[in-house]
Amino acid sequence: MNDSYDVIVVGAGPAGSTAARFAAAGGASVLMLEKDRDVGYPVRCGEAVSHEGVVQFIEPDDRWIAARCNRFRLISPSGQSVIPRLDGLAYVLERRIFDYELAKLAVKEGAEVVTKAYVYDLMKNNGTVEGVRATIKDRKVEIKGKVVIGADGVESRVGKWAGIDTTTHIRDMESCAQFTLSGVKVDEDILDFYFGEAVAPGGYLWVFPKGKDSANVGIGISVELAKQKSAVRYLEEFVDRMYPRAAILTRIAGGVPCAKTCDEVVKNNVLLVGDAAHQVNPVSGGGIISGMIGGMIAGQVAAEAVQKHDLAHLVEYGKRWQKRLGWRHEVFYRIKEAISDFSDETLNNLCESGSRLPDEKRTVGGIFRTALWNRPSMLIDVAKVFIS
Amino acid sequence: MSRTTPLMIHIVPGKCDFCGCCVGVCPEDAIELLESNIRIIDERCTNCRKCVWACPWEVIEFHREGITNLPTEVSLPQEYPPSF
Repeated sequence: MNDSYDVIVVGAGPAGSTAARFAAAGGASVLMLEKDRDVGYPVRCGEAVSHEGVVQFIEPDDRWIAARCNRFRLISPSGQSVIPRLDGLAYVLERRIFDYELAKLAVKEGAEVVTKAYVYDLMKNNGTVEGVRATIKDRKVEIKGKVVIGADGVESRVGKWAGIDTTTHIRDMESCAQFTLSGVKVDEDILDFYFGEAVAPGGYLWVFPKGKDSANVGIGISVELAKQKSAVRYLEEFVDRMYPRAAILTRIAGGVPCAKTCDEVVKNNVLLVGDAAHQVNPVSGGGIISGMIGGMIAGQVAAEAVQKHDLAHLVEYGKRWQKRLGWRHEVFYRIKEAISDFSDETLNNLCESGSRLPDEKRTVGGIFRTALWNRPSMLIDVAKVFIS
Repeated sequence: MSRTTPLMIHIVPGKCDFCGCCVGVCPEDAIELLESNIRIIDERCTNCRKCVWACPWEVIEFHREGITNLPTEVSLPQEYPPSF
């Protein structure tokens, strides 16, 4: 490890590794620092991604694919289910292996990686960030970097130190818990989503198959609605009811910022990517692919800025992100706000009318349209999704 | 903003999963999270309780009377966790 780099990436999740990879591929010298002893562990994720998303970055590999799913099932508060048509394939990942492979791709491009390296502050000169202060193997070090990429996750502090407000409003933070169960009967090719006040207020509960007889069963609920009862208690109730005999092999907690992208993702030579920048689909809470897209753009822009000797070029990252996905997440956020107000009755109606649709019309949009047709009073709810 | 009341936020030792959900909602940058260590930064905390509500594990408690006699730092032995 040197004492100076073009680009320092803080955090080695999918967004950080992808940023490191593309910065190095663009000709920058890159150091990636990970606070934990391992890349990819502990896993804090439901682990589902789309095939189309993944192949933009890495060839699918059986070693990190636990299940292949071609359907998803929405389960209403009354217990009725609807299976919308899903044109495409989803994978349930083994994140610890997947993340490892992404880090290896960064290393292949020339990035250096150091684990057990905790960044506790930024080096600054008149407000301009010039590197990081870190504890590496119990030793305090200063490392200079022309560009610092904060990929430090939901618990991001790098952005705050650079003057960016990254605090997630409690309405938008999903408080999450997940058990990985073994000895359970699950459909190996279906992703299940449960909705409703009693199951998961302000969020949803998921059952994702992880190969034979195993599943990630997790929940995310809005912190605003979690004041009286925490995520893990909702999850325990569900698992006791649905899978009383299952063995719980893993228990994890987590947080997902289901918000719009931070107002600023570039400031004082710091770029934010992934959960740290709130680059999460606010409706689904999915953030692996969108974080990797953010990481890719940030890495490319950082390398360009270094090559041009023009750090003012870094603002380009915010523009390209907005054009690629930022604007879509703003639309999704409006949809999320409308859906979160849906009552259990509205959800039941949606599910019931949707399930009566013929297969070719049973798309998510089709379900909405039919529900509207059968229940004109829903017009206001649905209109809120599209108008604001 | 300086606080005139005692610190009322308590992280129950040994129960934390170090997930970072509390750090994400903290408006004061008042929580320090390492791989297997977490602490409230007393000088910055305003007792707003957002971390208490956010915690998926119910590991963070609010004590109106203050927490002067309770240990606040959570730390696990170096051997946690085994990796592969």
